[in-house]
Amino acid sequence: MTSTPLPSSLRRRFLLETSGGLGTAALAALLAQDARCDGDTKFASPGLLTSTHFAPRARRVIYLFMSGGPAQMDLFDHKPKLAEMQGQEIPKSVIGDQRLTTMTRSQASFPIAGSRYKFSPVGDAGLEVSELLPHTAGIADKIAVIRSMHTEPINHDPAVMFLQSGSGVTGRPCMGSWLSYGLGTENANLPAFVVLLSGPPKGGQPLLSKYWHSGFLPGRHQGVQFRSQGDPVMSLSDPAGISRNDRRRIVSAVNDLNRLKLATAGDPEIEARIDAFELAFQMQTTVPELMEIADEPQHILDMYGAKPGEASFANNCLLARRLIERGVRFVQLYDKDWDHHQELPAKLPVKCRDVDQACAALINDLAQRGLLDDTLVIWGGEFGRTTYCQGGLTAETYGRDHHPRCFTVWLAGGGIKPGIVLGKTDDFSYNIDEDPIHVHDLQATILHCLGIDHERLTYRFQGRDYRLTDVGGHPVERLLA
Amino acid sequence: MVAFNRRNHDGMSGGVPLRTTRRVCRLIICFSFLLPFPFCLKLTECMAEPPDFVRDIRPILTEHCFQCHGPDETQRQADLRLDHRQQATTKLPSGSIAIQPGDADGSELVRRIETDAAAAIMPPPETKRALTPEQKKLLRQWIEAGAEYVEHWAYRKPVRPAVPLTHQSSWPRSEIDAFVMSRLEADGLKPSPEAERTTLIRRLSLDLTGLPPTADDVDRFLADEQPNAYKKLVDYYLASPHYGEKMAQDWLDLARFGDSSGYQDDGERPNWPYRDYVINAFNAGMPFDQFTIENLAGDLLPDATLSQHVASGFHRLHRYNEEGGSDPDEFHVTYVVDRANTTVTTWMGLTFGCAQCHDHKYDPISQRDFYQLYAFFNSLDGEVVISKSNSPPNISVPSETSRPQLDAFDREIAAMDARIGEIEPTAAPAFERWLAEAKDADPKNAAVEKRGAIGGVVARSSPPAYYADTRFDAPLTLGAPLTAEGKIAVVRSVNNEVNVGYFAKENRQGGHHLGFSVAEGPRFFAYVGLPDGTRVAPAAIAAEHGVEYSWKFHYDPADEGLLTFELYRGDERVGLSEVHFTAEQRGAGMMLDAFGMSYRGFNDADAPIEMYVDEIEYTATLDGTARQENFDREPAWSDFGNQQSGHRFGYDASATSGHSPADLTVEQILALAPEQRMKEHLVKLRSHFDRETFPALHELKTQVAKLRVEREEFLKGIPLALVWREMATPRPAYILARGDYRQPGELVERNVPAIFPPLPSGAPRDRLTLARWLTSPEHPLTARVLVNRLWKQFFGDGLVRTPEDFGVRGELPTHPELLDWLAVQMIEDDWDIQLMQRRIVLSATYRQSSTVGRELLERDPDNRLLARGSRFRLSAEEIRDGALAASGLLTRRLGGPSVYPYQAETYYSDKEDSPGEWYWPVAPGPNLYRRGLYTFWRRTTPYPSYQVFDAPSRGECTVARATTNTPLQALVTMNDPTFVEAARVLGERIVEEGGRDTVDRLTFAFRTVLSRVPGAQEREILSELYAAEFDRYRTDPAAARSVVSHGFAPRISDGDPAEIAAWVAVATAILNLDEAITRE
Repeated sequence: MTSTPLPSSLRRRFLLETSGGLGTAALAALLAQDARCDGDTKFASPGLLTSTHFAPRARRVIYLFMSGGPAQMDLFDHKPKLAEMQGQEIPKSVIGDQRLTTMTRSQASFPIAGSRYKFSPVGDAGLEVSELLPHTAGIADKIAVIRSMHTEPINHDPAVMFLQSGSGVTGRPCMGSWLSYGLGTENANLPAFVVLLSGPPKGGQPLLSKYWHSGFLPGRHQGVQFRSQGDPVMSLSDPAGISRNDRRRIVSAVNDLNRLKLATAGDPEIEARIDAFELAFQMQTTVPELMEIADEPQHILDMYGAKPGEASFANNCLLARRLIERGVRFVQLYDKDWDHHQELPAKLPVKCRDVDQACAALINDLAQRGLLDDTLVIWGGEFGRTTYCQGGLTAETYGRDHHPRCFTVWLAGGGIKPGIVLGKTDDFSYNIDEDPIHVHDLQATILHCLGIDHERLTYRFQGRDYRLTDVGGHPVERLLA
Repeated sequence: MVAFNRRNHDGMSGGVPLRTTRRVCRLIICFSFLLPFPFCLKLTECMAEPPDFVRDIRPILTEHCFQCHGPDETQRQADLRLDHRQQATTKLPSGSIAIQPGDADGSELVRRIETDAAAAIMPPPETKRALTPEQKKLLRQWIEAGAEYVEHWAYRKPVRPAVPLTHQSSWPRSEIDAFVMSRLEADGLKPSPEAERTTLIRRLSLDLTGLPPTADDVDRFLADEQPNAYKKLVDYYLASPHYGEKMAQDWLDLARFGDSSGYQDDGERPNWPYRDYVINAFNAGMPFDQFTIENLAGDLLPDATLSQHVASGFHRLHRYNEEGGSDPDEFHVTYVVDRANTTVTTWMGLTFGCAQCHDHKYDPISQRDFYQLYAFFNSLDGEVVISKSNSPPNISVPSETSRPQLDAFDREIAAMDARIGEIEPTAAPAFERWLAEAKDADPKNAAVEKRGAIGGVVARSSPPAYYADTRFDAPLTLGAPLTAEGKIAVVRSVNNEVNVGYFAKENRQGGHHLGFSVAEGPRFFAYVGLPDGTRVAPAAIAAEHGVEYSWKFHYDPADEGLLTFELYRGDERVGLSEVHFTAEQRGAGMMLDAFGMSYRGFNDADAPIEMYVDEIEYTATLDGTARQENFDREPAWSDFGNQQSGHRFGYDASATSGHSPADLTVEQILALAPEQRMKEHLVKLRSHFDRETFPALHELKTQVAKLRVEREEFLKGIPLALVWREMATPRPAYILARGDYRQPGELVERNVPAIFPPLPSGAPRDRLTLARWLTSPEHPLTARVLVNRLWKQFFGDGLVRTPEDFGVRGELPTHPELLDWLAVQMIEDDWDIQLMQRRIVLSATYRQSSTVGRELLERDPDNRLLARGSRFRLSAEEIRDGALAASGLLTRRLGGPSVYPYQAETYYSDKEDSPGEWYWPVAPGPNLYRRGLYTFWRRTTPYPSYQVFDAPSRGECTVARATTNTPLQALVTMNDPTFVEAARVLGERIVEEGGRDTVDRLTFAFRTVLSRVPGAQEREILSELYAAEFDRYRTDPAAARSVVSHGFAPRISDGDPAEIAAWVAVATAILNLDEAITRE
């Protein structure tokens, strides 16, 4: 039984975008691309963009997201002067008109809490890295560190949304969704945008699926969470008693019947449905294989500190490499519990141990496979932390509140100039002295590395053209290789 | 390289940069069916006509010019405004005139767009909005032709257009058909034949009830040969109780109805009485104007009924942030903005939100307009940052059975109060006299007693002792060792009434949840208070979610007078304070007065640490300095730290030996100076007096108090609905610069946007007036927006394909006259929704087959011209409902609380925090099979299968859902437990009810799922599948047994498992068909 083929132009149009909302965009794109070759797009469609705006330096992205907001002055933004001023009030002039969270707003005293960690210069640029991150120090020449990131929201939820979607308001598409929309996926059997969470949860803010939602973009651009417990993808496994052969026969029958329907009803959507069932059937095999890291050589597992069968950030870094090897466009790794309001000296080293080795291993592994050249890796949280102590400062401990005015992010790989340090904060790691880089600038830079002009990847929704960078953002030239 | 910005929805009008030859061939296709306004069949005609302002010119101006020369005053350059003809044709400060009607060469606009000079060219290159040569040509031609402007259609009040005459007169059944036919004739198209009857009944049933028809209904309809059979069917479905559910599901997207708060913690926020209200309103055929008024202003109606109050909860349905540290001012603005935007999107279909930060760039809506409308919604009398799920204002919504009980309580209480009122005038003065006599009692002994009762710290506010110190049974002198310990209860209140005093959180099932939780950040201070009013040894800890804290106090004179105070987080000691008392102090018999703990709220900038020790209030600042103040006022509940975020706190009074004022004996109270007596003391004295002197009165008071407690208990089982209650004095509203809550500017009054008809003069500026204004016949948008949504319900798309945007950047209507005709009719029908729906579904247009041939598909892929019926995928909930209905599992009960159908246990596994807070209690029973609209809606992490099928998060108002088509959807319908179980039960039914032979059984299965009989080829495919599966399961009985055991639903067949399992495979296939999840 065969389907009656549709005219190729229509077929392409329906396969490109099957949503009502996108129909016009896809049509416009088609009309604009009069001479475009008639390739088989299917779900490995190249996305809305059939060619990028610039020559792309990166083809895919891994974002290592440290949810909660790591303390920049304890990790990358060394401020030796603070040790001398330990316990003194932070000058009012430094805080200025800064809006504080209601957690510390009412403190009568804002004592300076210098970092208790040792810093040493590493790499050609003399990047000062905290002793908490020895492995990251080892890749200093492969990464570009921005010490002058700043953002707008001061609470977690809006700040994560801001970094992910360019707006603190829920409802806009996240970065991975934009890339899925713009560039599509390179692997028909896998989603373009995959999310991995370090499990099992140990504390910190919840990670909500809205952080990888496609907002007003069609649902297929949503991030798909690959889970460490249960089915890696919801509903992936066949139910008990249904073998692969059973499933094959059922899917074949469904598709044969759907082809009959297509022949009579004529609705091209049915053809997309037939493809979807075939792809779903294939995903049922490819995804579990992909998640099986036990087939990696022992030295690779050791390099990451990964342990098959365990849910961990290290395992996820290794999975991220496997995902991008297979053509996934955007892998978002979330690690949580970086929100150290209190007891920072007890908590931060633990978090650093969770991620340090695996982050460095990921960079080195990508490099040794030649993948780092066209993979962009980003590390960072949603904001920084305050230099002043939250609550009472004691000899034993201190805590830090949220701080949107400066924080550190590093990037590596495709399109990024390695081994540089960008930006300078004041002596208190409180305000930015040089090269402020806004979240929208970071987003514009990420898109730029992928060959996209951030002002030209837009989507019209409810009468307005939206883009990832809202109404701002400039690619940061100095970061670019 | 190509431009990737989306072009205008109205097709070519944005000026697509095509080579002319290509444009010619596209023009014939696109112009003829994409454009609603004057269109033509031949290219020559197209070219001969002057450009049409609406179709050709305004989109160019909108896209390329209005950013700087449009309605937004702050962005306007060179004082040039191109959206108004008068201003565009006026001499500019520069001396030139942008548009000289009839004289393109004399128009500065033409000069600037045609120039090559980089400094002069418009739009400026950096805007990346360059015009194409064709767009430039169009502008030139338009100015040459006189530069006529046409006011945007949607801002003009609809006027009933004449019903067009059509050449073909037998097809149209109604005015709707005449409009559609007239358009088809102009395009040289013919309508499609009427759909098969099986398709029609399925279509009607799905469109009007959201459920597929039952096999019986299909049979009855097929057997009904009367001419009015179809009409009767329409009435039948409109009268179905499931009609209200279908209508509610769509409305709840607009209303952003969810069961959780929607931000980080995303705690539960049940408000299902509102959902019931909506279902009932639609089922009762409530006119839309009334529905509008009740939703926006039910609370303001005179003698508002309970259901009208519940309806006013519409604007309580937005998300609420519970995150610690959130700024109430910020979120107050966020919520009010949401209310304003939701109102405009829902009733007026405009992109109002753009004007939050600046004047709208395209539509004539100013920032002032925005905040004037905003001002209607900014005076809710309730908290901003909440932790309490159904935070006040709220209302108890008793069921029909609980209402009489509640009334009985009220009657009885009123009767007793009346009897008390009779005795009280005698008793009260007697009590005063008694008190006066007692005043002279010698307080000395009591004072000593009191001293002995160290501590006795209480909070003097009506909620009981949430803030108790520990006091010791015996005087604590520093001469003897002492040890004490207790737990610290950190409480996040879900329901004030329940929690205060219990320090426990009532969970949904009515039990008490002892895992305390608070948001991050609050601090507890432990201290020891000395009799001289000073406080020593503060130790601080921060409370965290779901962690239990405890304290230990130890004093040992032998250990050099060491007093330690330790704080524990679980088993770990996290705080230690030590004080040494000197031998001198010890020797002097110094006594400790009390010790206690305090809390710093984190949402009130000025909140001090407050503590109450021995009736002395100490106010301390964070650095630990304490000062003493006289306890001269009643502390209000809100004084305690964190009213804004609602995080309450306190000791677990049961774990410590906290005491309340009432613990003092009558003698001790009498010994206090009158000014020292607290309210509780007086109550106790009065009670004592009554018992001694007015025993009947005492008995009555005891009884009524008991009744009141019982009534409160009873109320706890009654749901609370969120409602609106207006503040006595409205909050002032300001224009916020750049929409920033920190930058209030000019004060504004409540008003409606200036381009619309004004509010009636003299009417109060409140939500009620606003709601009436929205549904006044003068309003240009409300009726159009409503009929457009109703049209979408039956055709998959509205006549305006951007139902959320009727503004200048929205799409033009495909059938403008029809839209206006329907809108006027809607108003004249007194906003009767069912009447309008009946009109639509009775039309010949609606009844067309959705089958499409290749030619028509090429000409009109999106079915804009309506030469066929529509075919579109069902919604996420309906897909699930359909599988449940086909299997017979569907629970058809209406209304009630949200339910928890199958969901993988691991689905929330990555959600941290208090274990169980996000529990999802899947249990066997009918609630597994309720319709999709009753599924608990966790806004940040929606039900997995709904998310995959494009259901919105309900975090914000959603007008239209996307319909995508993805492999993940196939995984849901194949493997999600609900679908797996439905297939299993259907497989059993096939064997039990489908007859004996394979053909009969296949027919039964097809009819049950798809409402039609299978064709020969279809039977062949499924017979083969059945045969193959039967063979396979015969040889693998264990697999067969697994298949027949799927789900909690009881087995309904004790037949051969291999046979059933093979039919389950067939059922799975049918349930997975495109047709099963599509309305055609």
